[in-house]
Amino acid sequence: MSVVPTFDPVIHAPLRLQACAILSSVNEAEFALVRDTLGVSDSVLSKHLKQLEEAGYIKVRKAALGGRQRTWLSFTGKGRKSFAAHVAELERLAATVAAASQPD
Amino acid sequence: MAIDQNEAAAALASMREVRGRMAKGPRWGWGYHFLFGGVMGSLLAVQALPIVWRFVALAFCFMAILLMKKWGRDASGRFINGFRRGRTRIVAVGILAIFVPLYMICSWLNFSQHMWQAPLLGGLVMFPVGAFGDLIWVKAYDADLAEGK
Repeated sequence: MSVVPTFDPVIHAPLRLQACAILSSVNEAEFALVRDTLGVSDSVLSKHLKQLEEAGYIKVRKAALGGRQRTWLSFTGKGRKSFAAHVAELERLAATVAAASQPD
Repeated sequence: MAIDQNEAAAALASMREVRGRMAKGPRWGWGYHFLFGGVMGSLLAVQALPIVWRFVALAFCFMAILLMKKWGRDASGRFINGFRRGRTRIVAVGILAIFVPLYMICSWLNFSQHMWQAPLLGGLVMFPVGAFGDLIWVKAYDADLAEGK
């Protein structure tokens, strides 16, 4: 199935783009893993994830482990498609740089 | 909102970089690989058991698979479909390409030729294939991430 390149301002913010890059490489990731990989605080990550969740791009699931609450994040179908379309748009734009920098 | 080509290239580079960091994240460990090999081997070896015990053993295998899924999630902070795209799919298909014919050969030897030892030997062969196959799968996953895939 081909993806129509589409720029998505919700995804494009640097931290959200990186969080989406993590989520696209897994089926489900724990909040702590995403936070530690990005090197940000809980509150900063929560703020960005809220925006992705409100856009319907990610699902947030809470689960208890040893009396401790763990938060799991995953893409929705809509989120996965939007991210793929956004990446395709970035690749399309970046390819024009590569083409322009080729010697004649 | 419009972005220029350089910003697009930088955004792609930042994605690759963060996936590379994921490759250095928490791991499953050898215990997990051995358990995976054990389950794969057991799925073959149970054919040597009488029918009732075969179903009991299969129930244990499936319970072990569910526990492994939970263990993997909790240890690594992530859940990944074993058949995800990339090198990992090649490894997963490779493991199945060994498991399925071996299962069929052991079944045939056991039920048609009455060689009940065949599934046990098949299980012994499958154990290292599963354990090392799982280790190679993780290496393939890390290599995919390191390349930003």
